[in-house]
Amino acid sequence: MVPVGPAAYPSAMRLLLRTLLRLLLPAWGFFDVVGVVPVLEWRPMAPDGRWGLWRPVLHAPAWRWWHAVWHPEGTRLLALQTVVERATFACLQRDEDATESLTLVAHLVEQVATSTAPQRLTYGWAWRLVAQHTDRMQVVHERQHPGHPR
Amino acid sequence: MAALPSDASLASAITWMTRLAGGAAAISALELWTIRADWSDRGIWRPAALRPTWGALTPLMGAGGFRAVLLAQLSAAIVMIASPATALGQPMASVATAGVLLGTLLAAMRFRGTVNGGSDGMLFTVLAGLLLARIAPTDSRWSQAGVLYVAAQLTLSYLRAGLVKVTRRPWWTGEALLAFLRLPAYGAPAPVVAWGEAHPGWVRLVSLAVMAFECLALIAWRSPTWCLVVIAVALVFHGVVALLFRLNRFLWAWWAAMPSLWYAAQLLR
Repeated sequence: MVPVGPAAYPSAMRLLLRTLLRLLLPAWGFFDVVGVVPVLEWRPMAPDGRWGLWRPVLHAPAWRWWHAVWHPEGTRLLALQTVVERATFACLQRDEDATESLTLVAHLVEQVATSTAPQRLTYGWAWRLVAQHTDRMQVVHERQHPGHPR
Repeated sequence: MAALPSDASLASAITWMTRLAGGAAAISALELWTIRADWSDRGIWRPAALRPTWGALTPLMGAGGFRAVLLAQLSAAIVMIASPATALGQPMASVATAGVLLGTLLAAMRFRGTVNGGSDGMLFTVLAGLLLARIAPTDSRWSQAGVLYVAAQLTLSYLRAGLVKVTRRPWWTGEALLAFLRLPAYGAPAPVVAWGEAHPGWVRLVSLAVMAFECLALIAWRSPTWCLVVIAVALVFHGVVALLFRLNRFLWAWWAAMPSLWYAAQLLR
């Protein structure tokens, strides 16, 4: 049901003010240094109940020269990477806002899993968010999904 | 400060900013339209997951409502691209600018800033300054202020990014640049990454050049000649960044801001 009336204003106003503040006062601190690298991985379960190997969810599309001016797939990739980053850092900082980011990540994995290996999803799949530090790898969130029996 | 530039100088800056910002907004709307499956009812940014934060704006943010927002933004962007210089005092392009500004704001709210935050920030800055410049009487102080606000933010964008880098040792050695090239998120072409790994000296040189350009961009305000040099280097810089890091929308947004810098340099001549 679509929220209307005064009860709907607080969340919309908060979002509006937060967005306006971010757009009117951008940080501009681009390309600082590479610190923790967040990676999203998934794996399907085999019929014998064994898990497959972890594999990255996001892949860069092939490079073309015209991407300098027109590149919706690249824009999508960067946006999805931002979703993964937000979820990873929210988990690392035990942020209460992690729920929304994790929901978006779950949708992303479901889409990739369904489109790349639909026949193997009968028995379930799992995904995890990994924070790659310079000297170690830290799993910050892991989730398993039941399969879709046929 | 010397004599103020003629009406033509300010009018020319506003006209070109309008056309270029229209181009940037059109690309932005078309790219979002192309990936519409991702924000449909079964997509990644599906309305059901984000709706609680939209409140009263929900009708505009659902799949159908947001498609209408994008089409309106695209139409307004086309009006901006086609606006003739003589239309400066006409309300049509000003209304279109306001429409694109609103569309950009709604898109930023729709995706919670995940779809290219920085380029949206610059496009919004250009549109906000442009709207102020267009609705104020031509060549008035308010009109100038709108254009100069964009020029100041543009310069600040380089300066801030440069100052962040000079405080980081990996940027002085070139390691930071190489690390960004290696990041799968950007998907830089493999031959470029391999070349960088084989030629650390050259990577360091490029890294130093990037820091020097960003920190010295302020000299564009010194004279029109220096401004042309900065604009030329900036166009090459953004072109290369767009090619290597898939940041094409940054190229469009920063292009749209360049006429403001040219106007600022003439103003301080």
